[in-house]
Amino acid sequence: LDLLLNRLQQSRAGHRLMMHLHTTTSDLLVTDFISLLPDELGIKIMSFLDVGSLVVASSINRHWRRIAQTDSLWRDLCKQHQVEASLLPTALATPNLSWKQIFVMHRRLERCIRVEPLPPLLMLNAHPANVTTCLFPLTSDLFVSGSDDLTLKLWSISQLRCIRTFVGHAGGVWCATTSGDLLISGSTDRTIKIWNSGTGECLQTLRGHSSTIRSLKANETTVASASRDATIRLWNIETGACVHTLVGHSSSVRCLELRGEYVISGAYDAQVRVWDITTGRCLHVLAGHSDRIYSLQFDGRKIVSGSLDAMLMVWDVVTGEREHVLIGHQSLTGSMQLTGDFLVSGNADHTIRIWDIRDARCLHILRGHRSPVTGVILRNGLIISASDDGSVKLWDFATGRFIRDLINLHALAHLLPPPPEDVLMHRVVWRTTSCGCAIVAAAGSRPVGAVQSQLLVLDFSSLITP
Amino acid sequence: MSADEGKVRLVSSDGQDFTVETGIAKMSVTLRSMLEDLDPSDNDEAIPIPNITAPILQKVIEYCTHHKVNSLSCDDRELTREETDERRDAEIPAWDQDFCKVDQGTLFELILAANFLDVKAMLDLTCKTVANMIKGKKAEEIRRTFNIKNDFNAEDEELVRKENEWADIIP
Repeated sequence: LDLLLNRLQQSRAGHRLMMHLHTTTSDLLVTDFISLLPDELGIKIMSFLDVGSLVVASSINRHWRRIAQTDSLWRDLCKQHQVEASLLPTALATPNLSWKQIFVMHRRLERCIRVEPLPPLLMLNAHPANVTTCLFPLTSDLFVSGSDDLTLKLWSISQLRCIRTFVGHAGGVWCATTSGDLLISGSTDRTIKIWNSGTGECLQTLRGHSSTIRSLKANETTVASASRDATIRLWNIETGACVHTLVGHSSSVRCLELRGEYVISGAYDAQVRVWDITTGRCLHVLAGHSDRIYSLQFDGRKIVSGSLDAMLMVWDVVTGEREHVLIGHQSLTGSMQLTGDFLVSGNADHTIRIWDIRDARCLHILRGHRSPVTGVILRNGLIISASDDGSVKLWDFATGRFIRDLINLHALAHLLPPPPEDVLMHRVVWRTTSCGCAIVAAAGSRPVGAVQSQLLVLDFSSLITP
Repeated sequence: MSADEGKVRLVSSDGQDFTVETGIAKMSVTLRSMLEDLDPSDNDEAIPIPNITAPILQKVIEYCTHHKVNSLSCDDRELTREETDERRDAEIPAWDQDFCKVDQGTLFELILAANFLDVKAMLDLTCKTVANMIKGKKAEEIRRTFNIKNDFNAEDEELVRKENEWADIIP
């Protein structure tokens, strides 16, 4: 062979022949991996593709299409993109839906929220003339509102009505959470009530705190409550017994997080504390803030605290060390969300900031609200923010770019109940949440009570049905 | 399992002999279980590898030798979700990239060999190399790259177009 090659190299014709051989043989050496390999290896190759490339792969030929439709590939992509079937309304989440269909529906939903004409705004009269203090989803169709009118209400989006009112507290409800089918509420009446969300029955009333309950968190077995009495209590969810009283803060405990073995508390004494959920022991006192703590995030490793001193601080739960101070906001961060290495903070200085908590860098400043931001939620790569300026705004998480107003109470004023004639007031959004394919906002007024408080629902489900 | 516990003889499908350190051979889950079944008193028994040719077996040994030297332990445990994602997104190291600079026919044989011998990291590497040849290309470019005939009829084309409409929505 060496001899032959040598000969060929010496003449021009030989060289041409070699070039020709090169092109034809390399064509022959081209291999359709996906069609020729066993299916499981074709699937393995495609498991390294991103969504866009997988879609292109499904348009190559019949065989490629079949491999690219494999359910496990789309299941993994759904996981990777944090797409949960449970976020889709039950009506759509039929058992026959493939993971690809679920993925596609979520993409459609994202598109609908971003660019399509908005669905009609649905209105529910919530808690007459009172503040809606809490708002969160229970299932993909049901959500809960709590109010200082002493009640909690359960609402169905598909039925567009209140399906249950939880009556029993003797004071305003200021915080609530869930654990499985249970609804747990805390009140100015100093008690915590555990309700059966399906029947409305009050199963337990937890007594012990000597002042208002300000924050509640729960897992399957334990309820943690924070109170203005400067303590935190841990309760057995089944028996209602107080297991531990966590003493250490010197004033009102405002916020709580509970995850794994840890309970994290933030208080008006400017301290954040880390507690052991089993023993009730205080593991760390995180000192550094110079004013009241109002908000916390905890992902199991990192704690982020928001204070009236306008700063956000990042702490390590194991060492108790302060890792970063996030500087930039001018006022209190009332609402934030930690997702992986990124933090989204909604601030009373009218802005929202996106931070990288690994290096304390502020990646984006989201300007547009004209009053304090009252809530931020993250969904489908989107940030949804509510504000005292009466709007719910939509932003792109990756770029920080403003996309559009989802709700603007001023533009909708003609549809909303009018204020009494001689009352000066402005409309505000107190809370916002997402529930299934809907975005819900709690609207009211300042001064409180000038108009009926309402729950506004943007339901996108009819737009995404395949 | 120490590297000096001995050597083992492998015979390729075309009858070529390869003598490799047992530790290196054991990076293949398939060979590891074969070696465990072997009579320990018979040190010179050769293991036939019936469906892998000499040049391919040579490459597999090259891969295992490099990675045996460059990693402390033979790591074949199940990865967590996050690790799998990282592995999916990570750049392929330079040595591995060079290792995969072969014609498509060879790469095809390497995938089959890694699969048969059950060398997980090598199977990931070779499959990922093919995936990188697909990534970011238009359909026509992919067909050219792998010499694929489009067997869709007009009806299929329409169906596929409809099916994938949603994907164009976000840039």
